[in-house]
Formats: sequence, structure tokens, C-alpha cells
Amino acid sequence: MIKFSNVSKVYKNNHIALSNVSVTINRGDFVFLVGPSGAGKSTFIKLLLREIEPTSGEIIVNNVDVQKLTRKQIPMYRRSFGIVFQDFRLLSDKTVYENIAFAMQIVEASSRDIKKRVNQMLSLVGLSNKANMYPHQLSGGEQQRVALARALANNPKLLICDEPTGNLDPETAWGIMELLNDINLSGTTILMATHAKDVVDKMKKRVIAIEKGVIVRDQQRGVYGYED
Amino acid sequence: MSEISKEVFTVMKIKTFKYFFKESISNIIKNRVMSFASITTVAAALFVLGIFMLLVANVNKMVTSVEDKVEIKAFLNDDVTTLKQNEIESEIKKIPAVKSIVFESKEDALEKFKNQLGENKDLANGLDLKNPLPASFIIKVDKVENVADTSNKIAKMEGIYKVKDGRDILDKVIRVINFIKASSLALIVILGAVGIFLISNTIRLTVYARKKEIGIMKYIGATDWFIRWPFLFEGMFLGLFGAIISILLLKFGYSYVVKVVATDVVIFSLIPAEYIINTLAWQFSIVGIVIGGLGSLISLRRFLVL
Repeated sequence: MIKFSNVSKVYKNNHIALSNVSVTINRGDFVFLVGPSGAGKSTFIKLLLREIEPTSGEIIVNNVDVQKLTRKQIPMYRRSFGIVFQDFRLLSDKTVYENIAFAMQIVEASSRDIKKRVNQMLSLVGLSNKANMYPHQLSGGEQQRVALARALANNPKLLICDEPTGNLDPETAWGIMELLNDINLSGTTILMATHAKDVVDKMKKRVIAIEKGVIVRDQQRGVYGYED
Repeated sequence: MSEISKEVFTVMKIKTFKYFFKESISNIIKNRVMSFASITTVAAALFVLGIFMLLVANVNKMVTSVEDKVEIKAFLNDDVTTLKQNEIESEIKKIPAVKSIVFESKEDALEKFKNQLGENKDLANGLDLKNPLPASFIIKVDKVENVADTSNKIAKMEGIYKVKDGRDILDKVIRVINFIKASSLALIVILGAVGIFLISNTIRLTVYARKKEIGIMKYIGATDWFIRWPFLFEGMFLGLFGAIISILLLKFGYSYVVKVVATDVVIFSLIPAEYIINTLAWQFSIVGIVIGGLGSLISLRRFLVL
């Protein structure tokens, strides 16, 4: 599903963010991306999103060579996965329902499909009764559920989560993780960058640890491994 | 990959257009102060443009009617005999540029004068006994350019005491029109630039206000044009609203002027007010939309980094 081959990224200020990284993530995997701040996790995700391009190496996602994408193809490429951020990034002037529907409007889905799918997503994340509320009326955990519903609305094969539990208390975070686990079990590949030791240790999923731009550990059923 | 490139060029759906429409209108309402300023500027620019266009159109109309009437009037000395008169007539006919020649006797001239006086023709009653008006030849030439040459030739003939042609007035009118055209063009360029500038500023505010949303749209996989269109629509609407306001102002203003001129000034008639609706309305709408679209594009190029 995702294949990094000898990928390096050197920023303009000569900071080496990733150095010769090779890794393969298979369809259906649940992968934690861990490491200290500035280790290269964000660079890894930005490369995947094609926000930045690698200095050298090759990135293949869903059989697509990411560097060969033209400007016009990038939006279509991004539609092939869902993204969840630490700060939720919901649209504050749109209701829960509209936020989820928005993702489908962008891909020009039909009104009937949008209605059906949004309701389906709302019940998946357990927010059917809050469809008409605005983001500021929701708790952090609920907002992240909306973001998750939005990310999944277009039925992506891959879900990328950048610190999805970073702003949540442990109990709420666990709720999100259970949801992610369910989503993974239904076949969606999940790549999650995180600092949450508890979560990683409890889930016992594959763990890829990055330090100073290099993969230092790649472990099936791994643990967080840092004391922070 | 072929599937992706195919999808990029999928035709935009009506629903998406509705979405753009709604977004742009809601942006205009949210930015109402700047929107109002933009609309007002466009309206003012087009209003001034409209006044000049109406002015030019009316003057042009007058010129055409004058040009049609360009004729040389050669007045005869009172002592010219009928024989001499016939001689002069055939001599004038020999000039190649002459298209037609008509003789106007002293009596004809008086009759004409009386008709011009209309209701006040009693004023001319005393003139019947001692008619002061001279007999004349009215000569039409093929081209306006030949008027000068022809009238010079006629003036040299014996028995002619004076030649009149409309050249001086025509030259003056044409000079005035050219001045109006040049100054209106300058004014339109300036006002148009101000309109574009204000609209691009309005769009910039919207772009800033929606920065977060634009970022999210990019991550979800919105195409560049999906993000751009609502802003473009917004600018085009601002321009169009300005155009509509200017057309309404021109219509009511000009209808009033036409009414006043029709009752108080009889000498010339103005182009009817329907001209605005039939011709100016759609021209101005297009100009407004173009100004708005240009303003948007300038702003999008500078402030919307995709």
C-alpha cells in the first residue's frame, strides 16, 4: 500500500529531516509512527500527502508514484486517503452534519449519496444526535469523532492520523482508539503518528520508530519505547 | 493514473455550481462593508461611462443628421437676370462633385422662413412687400471632403455675392466629440482601475477569512479550481451588482432628461431611453462581470497559494 524506497528529505536550511528511509506498509496494517519531536514524523506524513517532495528516493502509494503526480492530479491522489489532525480542523461555521458532507461535496458526490453516507458516518462515530450542533458546542473527543467521520466519508483505503489523541484526555483518547481499531478491522489501513505511550503500548500494533531522520526500530506488536 | 486524469476533467455538476453560488453570496454578505464599497465604485464608474456614452451617442446622432444636410448655399445678387441665372446654374453643374442643384427664389426663401417661424409666422407679414431675402442655389455635393473646393469655385463666379457651407460648425462639433471621447476614455480607465483594485481587496479579505477552510479543502482533495471558483464568483457578482445599479440610475436619470428635452427644447430629439435597456444594459453587465472577475483573479494570484 505504502512503499518508501531510500527516501531522503533535506530542507533548504540543510536540515536533514529523513535520511535514506525504506519502509513498506501493507494493506490492512495498523501502524504507529513514533519518535521524539523533530525526529521526522511530520516530514514522513507531509511526504505522503505530497505537501513536500523528497530530495531523493521513491514513494509509491496504491501503485501511484507520488512524485510523478502532476499538480492537477494531486487532489485526486489526496482523495484516496482520509486525514485526521491533532487540532481537528473542523469548519467552525458549519454544523457537524455539514462538516462531514463538505468532504463529499468537494468530490461532487450526489445529494442522495451524501445524505446516506453522512448519516452512516454519524452513527459509526456515535454522534447521530448531535448532527445539527456546531463544533464549539462539542467536547474535544466529539470534535475528533467528527473529523474522523469526515476523513472516512469518501471511503478511503488509507487513514492517516497525525497525533489524533494529542489534545484529548486519556479516557476520550481511548474511545477514539477503539474506533480506529474498528475501522482498521473493517479493512482500512491506518498510519498514526503519536506521542501517546499508553495507547501504543496497549494496542500492540506495528511500531515504526524514527529518530533523527532514520528508522531505528520496526516492530510487529511493538511498544512505544520512550520514556516521555 | 489514467483514471485520475480522467476524473480531473469531469464536467462540473450543477450542484457544485449552486454551492459556488451560495458560498460567494454568503462571502459578500459577511464582507458587507468592502462589498458595498466595491459595488458602489463599479456602479459609479459605469454610471460615468454611461453618461459619456449617451452624450457621444446623441452628439453622433446630431452629426449624422447635420452631415446629411451639408449643402452649399450660393446667394445671388438681386440684379441677376433669369438668363444670367441659367448661365450660373449650368456652370455649377459642370463641377464634377456637384450632385444636385436646386434654385430657391426670393419668394421660396420667404415662404421657408415663415415655416421656420411656425406659430409666430405673423412676424414675417411685413416682409412680403419688400422681400430682403436673396435668391439662391442650394447645391449638394457627393462627399463632405469636396465641400470646400466646390464652394470656393462657386464663390468666384460672377453674380454670386456670398457662399455659405456648414463646414465650420461641422469641424467644431467633430472636435468636441473627439474631446469627449478622449476624456471619457481616460476617466473610464481610471474608474475601472479603481473598481478592479477595490474588488481585488474585497476578495483578499475573503481569502484571508477563509484561510483555514482553504487548507482543509486542500487536504480533503479539493481541486484548485473548486477552491478558486467561489472567489471568482464573488468578484463577478460584485461587478454585476454594480453594473445593475448603474443601469438603473442611468435609465431613470436619462428618461427624465429625455422627457424634459422633449417638452422644452424642440430643435433636436434625443435618442430614446429604451436605448439604455436594449444596448447598454447587457454591455454594462458584461463589463461589470469582467471588472469583477479581473479583480478576483488578481487577488487570487497574489494571495491564494494553493
